Amino acid sequence: MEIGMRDIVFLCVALLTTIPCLIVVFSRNVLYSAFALFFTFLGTSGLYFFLDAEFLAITQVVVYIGGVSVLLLFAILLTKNVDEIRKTNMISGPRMALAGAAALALLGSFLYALKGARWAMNGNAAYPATTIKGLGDLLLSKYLLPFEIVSILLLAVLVGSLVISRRSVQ
Amino acid sequence: MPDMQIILPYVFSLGIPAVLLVSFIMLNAMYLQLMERKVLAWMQNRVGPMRTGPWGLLQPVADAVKFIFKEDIIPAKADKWVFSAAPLILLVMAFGGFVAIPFGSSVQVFGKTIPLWVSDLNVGILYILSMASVGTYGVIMAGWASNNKYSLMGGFRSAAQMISYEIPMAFAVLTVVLMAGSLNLSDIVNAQSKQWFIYALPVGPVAFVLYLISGIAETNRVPFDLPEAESELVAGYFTEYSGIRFGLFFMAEYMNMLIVSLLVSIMFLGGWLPVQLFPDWLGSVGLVTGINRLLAMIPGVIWLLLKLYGFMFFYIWLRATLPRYRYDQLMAVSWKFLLPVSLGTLLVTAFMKQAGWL
Repeated sequence: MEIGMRDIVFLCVALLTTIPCLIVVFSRNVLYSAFALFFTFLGTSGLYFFLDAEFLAITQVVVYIGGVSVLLLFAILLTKNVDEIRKTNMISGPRMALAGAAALALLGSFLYALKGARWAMNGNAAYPATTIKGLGDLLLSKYLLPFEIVSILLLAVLVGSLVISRRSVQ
Repeated sequence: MPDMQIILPYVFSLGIPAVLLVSFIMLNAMYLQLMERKVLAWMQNRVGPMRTGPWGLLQPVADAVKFIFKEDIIPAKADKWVFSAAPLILLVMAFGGFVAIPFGSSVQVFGKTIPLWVSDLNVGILYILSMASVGTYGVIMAGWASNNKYSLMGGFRSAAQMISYEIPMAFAVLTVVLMAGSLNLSDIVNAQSKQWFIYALPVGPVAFVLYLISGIAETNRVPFDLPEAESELVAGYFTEYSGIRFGLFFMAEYMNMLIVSLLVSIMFLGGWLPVQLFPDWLGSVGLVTGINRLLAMIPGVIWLLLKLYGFMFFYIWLRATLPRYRYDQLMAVSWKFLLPVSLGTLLVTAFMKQAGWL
């Protein structure tokens, strides 16, 4: 098998995704986990680029890095006693066993699903130059109702958080 | 030895533009600083740097040498890894943004076509916005890792500010995307061949002002420079940085200013399209078309650079003119004024587009 440029880049992107993942899980400092999550998201976005899903890749960066993980950092930094590992990272025997079992079950279900999946083949048809048009069409026709429901849910969350924060101020 | 036949096309389509781009960025990151000091000095009735080189022209080189040879201090209680990673993340993301910016349509040199962009992404404008939003991360990392309360406060302020101003910025960009019907920056420029988007009444000028304000806030410049307010926070998130790491922050700031100025020129002022002193609908009077044709003979890159440096001058002009906002004012401007206006602009644009008026 000949190793081309594409394979090397793919390997780099895959490593960029997985190694920080390990840091996220095993680091004893919550902040390190949050910082490592940044690289995981970046790597995931790179994987989407490999799948020719440009729009999805960019959205991943905007939403997960620009939004989610920055908010995560805010939450951690505004919490008291983050640096005390004993309080933030309580690892114990039973917990480890429980977590291990859950991870194994998840892995098993993933493998089962992967094995049973029938991959939709494109044949050799050319991919459309951009996925935005298709996404927009689907979002405003077939998936209009779910889209609207999600937006109402987000609005409810926004109003709810306002109510909670106002109560704590009083 | 790889086959030259395979490599050569890549050299022309990717290699030369990339080298040109990097040298353009580095030169600008160095010399924009001189421009800022000179212009500020003139506005304040001083002469600015004069000693290094003729007319102070070697000042950026002297500064760079100083940055490199100064001792690189990492505070004893700082977090070493995060401390050193933060400026790199900011810089890499600023570099990343430039990759998708087209500086003109491709040029012919010695019979070879050389594109003036590194990558003409279909989602170019979204990509650049996403790179800008990632920069927030570096700022928070720097603020936290320094283990200094002023740095942390500065990092927080900066992050909150960037998040708040990203929203009106995104809506202003969306307005342009709606008008052009594409996320590709080259398409956006080509869509303005009849009329620049800043003239697209009534939404064009509004979106332009919205983007300009939020762009200045996004780059933490005066009057929105609260994250590095010297009088209260020493220097904000890079208080503890020295030597070349401080230089990296400096470069990233100038590069972000460049990106914002480039985007304003591309989205609202027709990018590399020439200025038309007299619009076409005035009719083809001999002199008018003559002048227009003369202006169109100037290469597109020069037009783009003229617009770009116009905005850079505007940045410096603002710095010499305006005082700093108060923190609550800063937030109020974004959430109570810019956001509703930008939402309204977007709605009006969508309506006009649907009605066929744009």
